[in-house]
Amino acid sequence: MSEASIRAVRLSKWYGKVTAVSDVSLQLGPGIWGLLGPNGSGKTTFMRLVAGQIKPSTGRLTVDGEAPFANPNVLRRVGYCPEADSIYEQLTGLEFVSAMAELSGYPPADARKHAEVALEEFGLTDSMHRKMGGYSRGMRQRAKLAQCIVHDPDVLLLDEPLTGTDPSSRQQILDALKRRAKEGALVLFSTHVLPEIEALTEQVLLIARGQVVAQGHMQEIRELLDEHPHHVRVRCDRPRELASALLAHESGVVALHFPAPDLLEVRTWQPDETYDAIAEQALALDLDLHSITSPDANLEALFHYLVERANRGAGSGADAGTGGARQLEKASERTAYQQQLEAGQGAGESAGADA
Amino acid sequence: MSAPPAPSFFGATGAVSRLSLLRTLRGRKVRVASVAVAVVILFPAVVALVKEDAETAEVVRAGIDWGFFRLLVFLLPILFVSGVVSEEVEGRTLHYLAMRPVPRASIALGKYAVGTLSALGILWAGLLLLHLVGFAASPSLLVDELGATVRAGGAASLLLMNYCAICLFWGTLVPEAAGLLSVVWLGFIEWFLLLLPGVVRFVSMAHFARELGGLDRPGWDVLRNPLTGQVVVQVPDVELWVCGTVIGAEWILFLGLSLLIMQVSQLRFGKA
Repeated sequence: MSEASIRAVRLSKWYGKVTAVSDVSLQLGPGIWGLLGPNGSGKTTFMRLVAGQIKPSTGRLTVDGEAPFANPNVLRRVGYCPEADSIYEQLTGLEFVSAMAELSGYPPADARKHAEVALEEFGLTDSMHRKMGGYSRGMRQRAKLAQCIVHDPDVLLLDEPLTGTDPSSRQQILDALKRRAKEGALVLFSTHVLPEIEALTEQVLLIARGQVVAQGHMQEIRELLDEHPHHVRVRCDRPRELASALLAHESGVVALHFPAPDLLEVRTWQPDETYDAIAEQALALDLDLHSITSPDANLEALFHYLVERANRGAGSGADAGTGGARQLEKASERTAYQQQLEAGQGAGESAGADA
Repeated sequence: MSAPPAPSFFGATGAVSRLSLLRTLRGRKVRVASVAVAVVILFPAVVALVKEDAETAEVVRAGIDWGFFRLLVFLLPILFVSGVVSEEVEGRTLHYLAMRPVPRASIALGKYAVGTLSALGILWAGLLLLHLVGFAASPSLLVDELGATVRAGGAASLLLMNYCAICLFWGTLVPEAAGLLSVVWLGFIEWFLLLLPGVVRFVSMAHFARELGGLDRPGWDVLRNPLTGQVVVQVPDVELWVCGTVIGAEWILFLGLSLLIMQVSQLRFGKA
């Protein structure tokens, strides 16, 4: 049996005028992969493409070497846990997972045994004879995960699997997934919460507006978060005086805007120093300070930044600075990797190693 | 990793059927259908009990005609089959089935089988109950009329299977509006055209089923010139085997189309 893999070459999917996945090229091998992106970034569509539920609009996609759409030979090796909190409420957990095992190819008697094992793996043994309509959200999530692994697949596609779980069931789920990955499975795990990925894997794909904007190790993502320019908004009575003072100060400020008469927006590479400088100057100038906020102290800002960079192109040089240079480097490496994939030379290598 | 081999088409259909049966038995459809059947047979059964022997058979046959051929054969497929795909799409549970290594057509076939068998079971239970209660006061008619009841039941069954396939077709093609489209199709093509004169009536499978079941022709069977009394338009007679073949052919056509649509469509996953 070949090694578990997902390979996409210039993959796109659109619904009418809406582009959900745009020109994605990547190759994933065994291990746990975090698919990280804000809501609406295309994570679910990408998962559904890999799960063979929808067809690509353009480009090529293979799972274990074959196109997945409605392909039983691929689907028998894939387990999918959808994001939606939907389940057959009239069935018990055991009936549900047994039915899924039967549909995966086990005879009815074996299906029940496999279902019991899968439910046990996610701590549902005590409640497997209860109807799922009475399950808590965390229990439903675990039942969904149990149906996903009941047929012992090579490729696990988990769309936000930790939603609604409490800390103990979260740990149970993480342990089970790590075990599967150790046994050689490819686990693709989507989320918009960075710490969820950190608890599970070091290998990350960042997706935004349907594009994979960066891929690599968690540490690199952390560095990107630190390096991308931050925005700080200061509402005060004399924003122009504050702006002059900040420019005179060594605080990493790269741009200043005045969106409103009492508002100053600062773009900086060194947010900590900038916050200190604002506080210092506010005192020195005796400003009537109303608020200091940062509209982008989260991943969405990073995604936004990376997409902007990607749109501007690798060689534009429009954005100088350390982080910018690093991004240029990443963008050109990604382009080279994409070319390799398109030329069919990337087989057998993992994207993480290249990024 | 040791995933089992993918199940065969019939193995998969069986597994989907077992799952659908569990859900059907625990859902509300069976109860709703049972109440509908009870209401339909109550009136003719009571009337038949108080009538003289000679009129009892007519009352029971009218009950079969109006209650079963003009109401239940339309109602039961809409209840049991038109929503089998849409309820999975709207409930967002279709992922669980579509992700399995089974031909998608087997999912539709399994659901169709359970829906149709449930509808047939309830139809036959109602039909036999009407026969038993209607002829309870006259044991000789209970036996003598059994053949006619079974013949009508057979024709109604064939028609019901066909209507279930039509409902499945709309369910796979337009899951969001399957119920509405099924009602419009069955109401216009099957119910309304059944009443029209001439060969237009041949569009309605209900016409052929009534011929097979030995029931009277409803609506404008014969149109006469009001002045001369001369027959202007008349529904042509058709051999019974032709009636059965036409219904069977349409049944296979709609069932085949449904399975094909299910096999190749993206099942509205892109919309969720």
